[in-house]
Amino acid sequence: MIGTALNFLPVVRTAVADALGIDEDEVVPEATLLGDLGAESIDLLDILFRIERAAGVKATVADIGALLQGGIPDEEFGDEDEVVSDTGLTHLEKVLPQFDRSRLARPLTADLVLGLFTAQNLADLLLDRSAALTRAA
Amino acid sequence: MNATAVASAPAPDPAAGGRPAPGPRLLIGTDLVAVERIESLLADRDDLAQQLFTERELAYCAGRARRRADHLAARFAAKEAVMKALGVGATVPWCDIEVVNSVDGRPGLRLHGRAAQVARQRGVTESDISLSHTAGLAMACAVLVCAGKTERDRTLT
Repeated sequence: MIGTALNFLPVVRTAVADALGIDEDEVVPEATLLGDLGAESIDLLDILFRIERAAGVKATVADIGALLQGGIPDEEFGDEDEVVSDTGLTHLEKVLPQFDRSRLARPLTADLVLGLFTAQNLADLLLDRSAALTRAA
Repeated sequence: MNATAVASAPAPDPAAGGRPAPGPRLLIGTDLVAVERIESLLADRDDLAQQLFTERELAYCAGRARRRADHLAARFAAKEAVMKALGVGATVPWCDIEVVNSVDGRPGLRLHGRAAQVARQRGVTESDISLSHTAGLAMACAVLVCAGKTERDRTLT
């Protein structure tokens, strides 16, 4: 198993469905966890722990935040009205393949960024974490 | 407008180009959680408690053994309430927001790390927190007072 590209999507779908009490079929790759599936932050905790138990890959809610902001300081990520800057949007396009700023109906504010995170994005993050663990081993 | 309202209006501030100096601004956040949800999350995950709560919070709640889960859930709600008041989410570690109790049991907030940094950015000068739990639910209400001296606050006033 180690060294091969794992697909974490099935693990994510099961964990999300179990934590939220919804059908696995609803957890499509492009579904946003907070928006489409209605997860709250306590659900994110639950989901991540279910994944850790099922797949042995540990990720925290803070890891998701770190991925989304990419170490960009707050004052560079958003302006004084919390609207995500060009720098921030460019970073989001890099880490969230489905994100396309030209399709934004209105300026994106920082509080909406976590809502962009999809089931597929979580699977990608886990793949990244698992690869990092493999490299460190 | 009555006389009291006129008397309490902010005085013009030369630094703000003669406009009235912005008064303090309030940020409020509230959260409600099911105690059972926290209890079951913590049940078989040893390191989750350390991820969510500081040593001091765990010690406080352990001292209230019969109602430990209620107290932990109320603290979880407090952290969520503060995150809402600050307008932040996942980027603030849970332990950066700590509920500390005074000798008489009154809860207060202590912010660390990134939470403290965001609070400084928002100009937070004072905070208060209120917790409650009953019938399997725990809730918290956080109030943060901002000095209201940033450019952003000026444009809002």
